[in-house]
Amino acid sequence: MDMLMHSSEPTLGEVFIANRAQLQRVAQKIVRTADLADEVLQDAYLKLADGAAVRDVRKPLGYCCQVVRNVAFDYHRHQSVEASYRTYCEDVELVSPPSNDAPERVLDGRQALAVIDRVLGALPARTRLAFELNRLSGMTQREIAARLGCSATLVNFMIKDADAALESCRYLVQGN
Amino acid sequence: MAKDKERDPVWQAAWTWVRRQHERGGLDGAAREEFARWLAADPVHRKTHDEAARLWLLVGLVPPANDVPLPGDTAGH
Repeated sequence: MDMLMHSSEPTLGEVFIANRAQLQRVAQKIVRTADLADEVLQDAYLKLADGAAVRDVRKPLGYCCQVVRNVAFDYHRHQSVEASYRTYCEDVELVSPPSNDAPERVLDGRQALAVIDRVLGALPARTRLAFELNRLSGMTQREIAARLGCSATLVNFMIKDADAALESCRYLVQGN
Repeated sequence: MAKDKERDPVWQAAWTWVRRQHERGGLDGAAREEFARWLAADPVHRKTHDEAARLWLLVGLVPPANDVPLPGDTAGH
């Protein structure tokens, strides 16, 4: 792991490849099968550059894990939602067609992450920290409260504020 | 504080479901039933859930502004 911090810093992609086995385990713990874990890794690898465009990543391996975990959870969630949806509803085509009056939705992944980063950046610093501890570190509100030295109720309010702010990013994902 | 604007209850429900799906352990049997019923109740639910899930993923791909623990990174600290 020493190799991560040499003078000419490796790119995120290089860190990803050097730690592929570890990342594969992270993915497989979530999606279960090796085949799906492979797919997750490919998808995650392609997404690295989007994040790197938002800001300098301080912990490259940590960020690689973050992307792999999130893509893996997305796959996992997608599968279980599909399953429960098929059980209850046949009419999958009822989803309304994409509207053409939202030019913003052609934003690519990189721009979308930049928009989200700006929205989170407009929150009070502690609110963003609480949100990141929840969303990225996977800590419960109680754990966050203990870490920040405040009440769980306050943490709950902060996370609700972040969620409300993120609702304004909805246009990024609408219609396609 | 959040911007003072109309909030969409369907979006909030969808976001809450996505949030619960990602909590440790995910949805238990009863919650999964309830979720499936909510999904099937209205095509808008399904569409909004897909959007919320997509935004949830994008939010999870933004590199943290703070030095927070990132699970899976055994090389940290």
